[in-house]
This record gives sequence, structure tokens and C-alpha cells, in this order.
Amino acid sequence: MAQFPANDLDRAERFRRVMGGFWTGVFQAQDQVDALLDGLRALHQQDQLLLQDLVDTLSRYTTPLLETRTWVPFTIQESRRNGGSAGMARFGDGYVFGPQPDTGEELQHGMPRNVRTSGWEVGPAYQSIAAIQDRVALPQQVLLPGIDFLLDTERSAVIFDVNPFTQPHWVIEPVFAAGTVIDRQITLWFYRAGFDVQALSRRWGAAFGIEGASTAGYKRLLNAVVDALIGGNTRQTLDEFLAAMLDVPVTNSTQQVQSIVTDQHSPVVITDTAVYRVPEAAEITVAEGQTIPAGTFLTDGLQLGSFSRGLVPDWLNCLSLDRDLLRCDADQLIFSNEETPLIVELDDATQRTKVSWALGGNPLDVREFFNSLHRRGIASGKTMAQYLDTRTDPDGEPDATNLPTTIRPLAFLAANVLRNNVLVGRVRVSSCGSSILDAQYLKWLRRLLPPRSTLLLTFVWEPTQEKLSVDRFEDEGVALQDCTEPFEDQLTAGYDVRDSLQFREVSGTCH
Amino acid sequence: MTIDLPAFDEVSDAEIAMAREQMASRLKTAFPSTEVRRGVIRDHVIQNQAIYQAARQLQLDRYDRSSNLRDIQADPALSDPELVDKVLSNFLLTRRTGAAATGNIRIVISELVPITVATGTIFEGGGQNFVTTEAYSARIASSAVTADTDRVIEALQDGTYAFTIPLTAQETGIAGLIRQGTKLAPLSVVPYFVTAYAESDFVDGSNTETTEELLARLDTKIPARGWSHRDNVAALTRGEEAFEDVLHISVIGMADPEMRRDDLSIFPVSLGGRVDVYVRSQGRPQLLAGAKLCTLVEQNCDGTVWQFSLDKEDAPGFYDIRRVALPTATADFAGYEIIFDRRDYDLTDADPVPDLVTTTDAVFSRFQTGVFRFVDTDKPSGTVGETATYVITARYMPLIAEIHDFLASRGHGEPAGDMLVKAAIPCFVRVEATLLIPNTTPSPDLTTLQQAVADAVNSLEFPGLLYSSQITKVLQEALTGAASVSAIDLHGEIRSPASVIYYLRSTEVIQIPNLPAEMISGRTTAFLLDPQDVILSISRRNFAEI
Amino acid sequence: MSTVVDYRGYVTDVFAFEGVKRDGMQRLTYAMFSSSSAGLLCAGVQKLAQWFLLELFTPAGSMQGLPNYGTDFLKEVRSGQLQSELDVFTSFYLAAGTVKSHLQAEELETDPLDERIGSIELTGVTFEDGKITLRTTIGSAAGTVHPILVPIGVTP
Repeated sequence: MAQFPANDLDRAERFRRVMGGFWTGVFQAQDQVDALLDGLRALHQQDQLLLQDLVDTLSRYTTPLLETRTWVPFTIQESRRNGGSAGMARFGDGYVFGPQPDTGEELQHGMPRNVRTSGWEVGPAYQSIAAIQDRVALPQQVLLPGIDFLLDTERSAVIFDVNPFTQPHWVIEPVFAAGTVIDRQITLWFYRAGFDVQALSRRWGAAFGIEGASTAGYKRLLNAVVDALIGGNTRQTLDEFLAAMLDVPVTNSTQQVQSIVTDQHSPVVITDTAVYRVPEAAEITVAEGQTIPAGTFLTDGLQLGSFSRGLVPDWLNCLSLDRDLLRCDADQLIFSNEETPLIVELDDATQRTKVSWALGGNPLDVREFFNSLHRRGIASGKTMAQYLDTRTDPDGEPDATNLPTTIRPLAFLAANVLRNNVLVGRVRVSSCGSSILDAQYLKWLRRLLPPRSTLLLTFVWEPTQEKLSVDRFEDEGVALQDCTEPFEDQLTAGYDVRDSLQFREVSGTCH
Repeated sequence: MTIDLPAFDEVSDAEIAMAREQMASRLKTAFPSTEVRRGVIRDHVIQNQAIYQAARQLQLDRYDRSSNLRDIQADPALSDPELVDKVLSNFLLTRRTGAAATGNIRIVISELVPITVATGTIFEGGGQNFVTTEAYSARIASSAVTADTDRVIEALQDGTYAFTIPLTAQETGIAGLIRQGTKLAPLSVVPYFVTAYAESDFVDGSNTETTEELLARLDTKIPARGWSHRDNVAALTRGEEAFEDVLHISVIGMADPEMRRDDLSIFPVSLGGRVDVYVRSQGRPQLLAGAKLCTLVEQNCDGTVWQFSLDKEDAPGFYDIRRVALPTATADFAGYEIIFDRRDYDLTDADPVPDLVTTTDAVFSRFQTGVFRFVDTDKPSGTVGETATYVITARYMPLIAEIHDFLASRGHGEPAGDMLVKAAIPCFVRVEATLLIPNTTPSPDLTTLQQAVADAVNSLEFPGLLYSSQITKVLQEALTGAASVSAIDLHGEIRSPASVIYYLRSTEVIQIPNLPAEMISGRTTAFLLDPQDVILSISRRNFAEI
Repeated sequence: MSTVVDYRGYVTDVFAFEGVKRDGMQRLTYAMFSSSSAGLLCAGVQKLAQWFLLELFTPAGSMQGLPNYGTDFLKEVRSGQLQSELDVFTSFYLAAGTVKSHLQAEELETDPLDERIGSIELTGVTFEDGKITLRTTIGSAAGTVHPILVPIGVTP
């Protein structure tokens, strides 16, 4: 809990007293003494803030994301306006060679863009600036973020709405070289500038090979991983890891939902102990008045469950098993949770009853899966058909009358195969927050799970819907295909081939 | 700040002088023509800076002492507690804060009159003060009870009356853990007061952990406490303060024949993914008595048959019912006979829900429930459906629910894991031995010998075998002179999760049978010996003097 | 006015007074700088006099970390204990003796003679308008003697 006064630096009188009675009681120009002491106190207080940061870095839980400095002088030169990252066009900005289609501006190598705003490069460490002044005391100019200037952390630049060099009150100094004025400069004072000194990454992340920029999500992920490494893998560390990765809200204790409101930004879930901001597209999965246990994900951004007790979570419609899990020469089989007819055949070669059912995936893979299942059954002395035999005292091979007529493939899989070791999650990407972490950290997921268990994550992407006119397909050079069958389309020379791909699901209505 | 800047008054003149000398020296080196000995520069620049630097040096010294484990361990008293907490938080170690002890006391009064014990009434006992946190009203009849804080006054056999209220120690700490029977006296007037005593041992009192104590836990906390292997599970359990003294833990998992819960697929193989933790939290089971409302279900030639049920919170993981008696029964009454014992389980509110499909799997776990019937031979007739209160004494192994909830909790449970804590399957042991004591040797203290034998048997982990020689060794070491031990008769009674009783008897060794289908084996079943079940008799002999 | 050349070979301090001129008696005010002056340096006997006055008027023990620095003179003036010239003389010489001994103890062989303390004299005392004015002289080891007129407010 912050406390004031925290120490003798916060007590001006106490700080004055150390100078002795002459300076505080006899010397008449007290304002001069006070000015000096106030300056020294400010310096010492800044020193204490830095020390506080140092103390906080002792614990990875309290390590601050940013190092805050009360006053930082920063000199800008007129010649550097919009220079470097502040104003140069960059790859990925969406510009084209030659004149821009909308403005007609023609970009030139090494020259800043012609824009109204004025920006100066400040370096990547700056992450926040609370205000910019022309001097520390009695300022004539006070610029506020979001109004007068913007700290663009992407470009590592401060962008001013109005060029300071065109404004009065700023102290503009000439820059001389060989007795000639070659430039002009202004010293800005940044108030409460926040620097990313990579404290988390350097002190903790580096030791575990989890490095990254100092964001709240990174800190959460780092602590989840280190907690798991030191204290063992737990449900909580997994929840925390996934919540950090996907930027989805999860509770850390039992809480009661007080209200769900939407402010000017997005929906907010308010519980008795915490407030969670929810992405606008997310569906909130808790209700007002509901008491929710620790580990509850509040939106459909991530739904996590297991097949414990052989039950399928109600939000899971189907599950895809890939080559890593299948032990036959098949890939990507989809088990739906729908009642599916049981297909009963007689294996002519062995005269044994063979069962199968519809699965999603390549028909060849499906066939291989059931062939393998049947072969293994024969080899082990009991086929799947025999396991499914409904007779209490079977005598001979079962036929269709001795077998169930339908089966729920996913429920069967959950009850008999996956119930012991498998967690399952469904990620709705559009419901995740904007601070989703880089996929590089996903490699830790495997290390957060016991080696005898696995987590099957299903990602649900909902591509932006676009309306296309069928007439334009020919113009775009892509033939309209019958989507009921797999298709191939040959790109011939002459197309604008780029080093990126975009997948789009195209559906339409025929009139 | 955790380590704040020391007040300038705390800085010694010598430390300031040293800082001043350093400052002056640096300034003089940088600006040789500047006067630093006295004057304005000294007073305005050097003096201020020197005092701040000296104070900051003290601050940094404290920081240094408190920010690394080696110095913290070298002299914990010099370290700043908050900084130590930060350092140790990285190892998931949190300082335990103290708690006040609580417990029930029985207040005995001389008259049957309504009495109110006001909020804040202080009772002194065991050198500690205890206080009521609410006002309690003692009512003369249950019909007058209207609030949770109302108590019914009960008549005692000696003509006095009594009621029970809870107290909380005024101070946090273990000093408030007074024992059952400790006398208490009110510091203000309680009408018709005769006496008051602790109805049970007070619980939950604890001291705030010192840095030394916190560090002592470091050794047990740094090793992985998790689900990697069986020892880690035990470390995870014992790493928690409340379970530090848990006696024995046996972890059953995949490919262990006693594991039945991972065989629920149509595929006849052990699929793993299930862990059963058998716990023996203390040497011998504990008896827990409580009032239960019983319902008359029938009457037979022996008397009336009554039924009651135990829910999963009554005596979690209970073994059996040891006694059923009326509240007015005297202490020497053995109790009515249990004639029906059916176990079940209740998974309500379980999180996560363990994979339980048979009652046998759930027996002795915190989810076990039970329905029991007994014959009240003192009440030959009654109406089916009528109810009466009986005092039920259950035999159980403490901490089963607490350990299960801890291991299953979000902060300790294994992702995708399914774990079930159970009380060790009991093999109740009885030992009979005759001590051969020369006529010239005084009789040994049998109570001490009984305790020694029980301690020896109860200290065995999950041995599977109990040899009579182990008993002989304990007795012989405790005996003096030419006293010796005759042949020992060992009896064992295993209560299986399937409600089957297996009896063992031998003069040499009793062995836990290997019945994995019933989850019984040496890895799941523990020998439990109550000192009262050590039957020692003395045979006086004349030994020839040599 | 002094020039840079005048300070050659001297170690200088910031002058805590304003209004000084090269010659003659001037009324000085306590200030390190003003709107018309960015401040002055001092050396020689001016520095010596400044040292003397700073310590004379610093209450003993009021500077943390310098328990022996300062005198009780100002405390006695302001407490009303000094009712007569004799009282002032007695108290002044006691305090001045303390300061002188401190200055002498800190002297270095390399110090210029005009920065080493010689004599301190109180030549007269005037009581007027809640003020005591001391007429003092300070002499350096170089043999020069300089008068200093020091008005002291009786009330703090």
C-alpha cells in the first residue's frame, strides 16, 4: 500500500533540517535554499523509485513491466523531423511503388513521407510518456498524450500534432558547426517516461529460455511456466498459461459475478473481487449472480474440459485425431458426436464380423482405420464387434441383431479411449483478446503437460465475410470450382505471385 | 517501499562523515579549485548528498542482506521480512500468517434458566483469553430456539445444566490450542455459572511464521512437488503445513494391480491416467462422536430398528461405526449393535469429478457415504417413521477430505489428471502376549509397554507383513532383568472396500493377502494397532539363580 | 570587482552574500544569487570571514553528522539571556574561541595566509529595535585585519 510521507525525502522540513540552523534560520534568501533542496529531493526521490524497481525485481511476481523515470530530457533536432522510423515508409505499411493510388504521393528511398504531423524517433525502449513539457518547473508548454502527441511504440517515435519548431514558447537553440548554424534543436522534458528495460526477460525469462517484450501477458505466461517448473504442473498453471497465450479472462479464485456491462470500449464482467474486460466479439459464458469457481474461463474464447468419466463436454461437437495420435496409416479422422449407424459386415477372409461407422476425413484413411481396428482385434483374440456384442453369453460371431444399431463416435472415443489422459479445448479465435502472444511460446504447452497426457486444442476461425460477385471471378483469374469435391487450380504465369497466402472460405447462394 | 529509506536520524555521524569525505574527495578531484572543507558548497551540496548517500547505503545494506538466499540463511534476523518474502515467492514459498485458535466450550450452570452470553465475553483458560464473537442465548427448550446463536440447555445427571458455545482466542498463536477438558473462567459475570471446560481440543491456532521457520521449509519446498513420480506426490502433500505430519502415503497408479479405476474401457487393458493415494495420516484411527437424527424403520423381537446415514462430510473416509448410544447413556455403555451397513458415494460439488463408477472404488474416500441400521434393545416398540437422536461414534482416519481437496485443487491438481485420496485400507491388529516375569522383579508398567508396541506397529509404513518378532523385540527392550516374552498371538481384521471382513491370525507373522481385485495388498493396507488392543498378561516364574 | 586573475592559486567557495564591492564598507544581504547576479565566488579573507560567520551563527549540533560544528551564540542571543554588553562580549568570545579553534584545526600547510584565522575581536555592541549589532574585526595570518558589522535579529 502506497504511503505518504514514505520517508524523509517526502518531508521537506526534515530534509531542510540536515543543513543546520544557519541556512534554515539565519540565511535570509530562503527561497534559494528551498529551490536547491527541492531539486535535490526530486533527484533523490527518482533514485528511490529506481531502487523500488530494483527491489520489485526480486520477485518475478512483482517485477515491474516498465521502469519509470520522473523527468527525462530529450533533444529533438529540426532536421530529424519525420526521420528514421518516425516517418519512413516501412515494409508492410501498405504502400506501393510509384505514386500512391489515393494520394498520388511518390515515396523516395531514404526520404520521409510527406505527412502533416511531425515525428521524431525516440528509440524502442520508450513505452509510455505521461506528458511533455518545455521545462521541469513553471512550464509554458505542457503536451498531453493522445491530444497533443502520440507515442507510437510500433515506430518508436513521438508524433506531435503540431511541429514544436513552429510554436512560440519552446526554447529553440541553434546548433553550430564551424561557427555556422546548421540546425535548430529543442530540449523536451518527458514526464514519467516508462521504459521497457526487459527486466522480466533479462532476470527471469532468460534463465528459462522464455524471452519477450515486457507485457502483462508475457509476465503471466512466464510466471505460469516457472510456477510449473518449480512447483509442478497443475491445472492452475495450465489455465494461466492458456489464458496468457490467448488473452482470455479466467478466474483465479471463487468469485460471484456482480454485473456484466458494456462501457465505451467493450463488455466488462465485474465480480466481487475482480473486473475483466472482454473482447467485443466474445460470448460471455457466465451470468450475473452466478458463483464461479477458480479456473473458470469467462468467455467462449477458450473452453477447456476433459473426457474424465467418459463424458463429452457439451460444447464439443466433434474432434479430429491426427497422425500423432493415430496408430495406423491414417491421418486426420473426425469423430462427431452424432448418432451414427453402425455398419456390420462379414470379413470374407476370416469369416469374422467387422464393424465400422462413418468418420470425417479422407475415405481411404477411414477405411484404413477400421481395417487396422479389425486386424488388431483378431490378433488380440477379440474384435471390436465382439466387444460391442450385446449378448450376455455370446456364442459365435455377433451379427447385426446382436449389435447396437447406432454409435456416437466421439462419445465412444471419450468413454473408451480418451477418458484417462486427454484434456480438450476449443479456442474461438475471434473471442480472444488483442494481446494474444506469439505462437513461439506454444512450445511450452507440451512441457506444461504431464508426459502421459495431452491437450487437444481445436481452433475455430471465423473468416471475415465478403460478398463477391460471381461475375468477377473470371477477372480475378480464379475459376469457380465445385466445392463439393476436392479441387486443384493451376496458377499460370502472369499472375501476381506473392510470398504470402490467404485462405478464404467461399460460399454462395445460387439464384 | 519494502525497504524504505531509513530516517535521517537513524544514520550515524560516522556514516555521514564517511559519505561526506567521499563526496568531498570526488568533487575536489573533478573541480580542484572548489572549496569543499566548509562553506556553501559543503553545506548545500556535500552535506545533503552525504546524508542521503549514508541513508541510502544503509538501505542498500539491508537490501543486500535480504535479497540473496545465502545472506538470508546466514542471519535471518538481519533480513527484512518483506524482502525475504519476495525472494522466496520465486520458489512458491509464502509466509504463513498466524491464526487465532477456536473451539467449543461447555458451560455448566446451576439452574435451568435462559442465559445470554454477550458478544465479547472473555473467558480465561490455560493462560490465554478467549472471547465470544457473537452473543449466544441459552434456551431452556428447543422450541425456543430461533437463531443460529441459540443453544439448548441440557440437563446433566448430577442435577446441573450445560450448554455449548464457541470461543476464539484473543491472540493469534499456538498458545490458544488448549486441550480438551481445560477449565475456563469468565472474566465477567455469567449467571448461575458453575464451571466451564473445553469440549474438545481447540484447533486452527497458529503463529505467524518467522523468517527462520520459513527458511526451514525451503529445503522441502524447492524439490519438485508434483505428480512426476510417487515420492513427488508425497512431497507435494507433506509440503503443505497442515499435512506435514502425515505418517504414510502410498501412491497407486497405472500398471499397479490394485488400480481398478483405469480399467473402465471395453478394451481390457489398464489405460492409466488414474491415481489413488492411500493415506495414513496418523498412527491409529480417530473416534468422532456426533449426534444424529435416526429414524425408526421396523421393530423385531430384539427391539426397534433405527436407521441413520452418514454424508460425505460427517467423517470423511470413515472405516466403521464403533458405537451408537442415546445421549443420556453412561460412558461405560458399549452401544447398540449395527445390523446393516451399506456404503455409497456422493460426487456433488466435486471439482474435478473423479472417475468413480462403483461404490467399492469410493469406499474410504472423501466421497463415501453410508446408511446404517442398529437395534435399540432398550426400546422394544415404537412407530415406524418416528425419529430420535442418538450419539454416533465413527472410526476414521483424519485429513482424508482435506488432503483430497488439496491435491485436487486447482493450484495442485494435475492437468488431465484423476486422483482419489483414500484412507489406508485398515487391518486392525490385536496383539496378545504373556510376559514372563521373575518373582523377584517388579511388574513392568503395562500401559507403557502397550503404547510402545502400538507405536512400533503404527510406525510401519505399508509393510504387508507383521512379524511377532517385531513385537517381541519391542517388549524385550522395555523389560528389565530376566523378564522375557512368551509366544505372541497376532490377530488381524481387514475391512475391505467391498465390505468383506478378512481375518488373519498367526503366532509368527500376519500377512496382508494379495487381493488386487479388491484393492487389498501390502501397498494399500496398513496395520493399525490401538494400545488397548495390546493384551499383555504377566506370568510370574521362579528362575533358578545361577 | 575581482577578476579571474585574483583567484589564481586560491580555492574558491560560493559567496553567500550579495552586494559586495571591491573597496570600502558595504551593507551585504544574505543571498547566493539574485535577479541581477548569478552569484559570486569568494576566496581569501572573504572566505575566511564567511567561514567564521557561518559557524558562529549555526546552532551547535544542528548540522546532522557534524555534532561539534556551530556555537550556542545565536541561541543565547535569541533566548534573551544576553541583557548587557558584558553578556554579549562573554558569549561572543566563548563562541568565537570555539570557531577559531575549529578553523585552526582544519588549516592546511598549503592554505594561503589570508585564509588562515588570526584574530577575532568584538569591538562594540549596539542594542536597537530588536536587533543586536556586533562590531567585529577578523584578522588573518597574513596580518590583515578586516572590520565586519553584523546585525542580528533578536527574535527568530
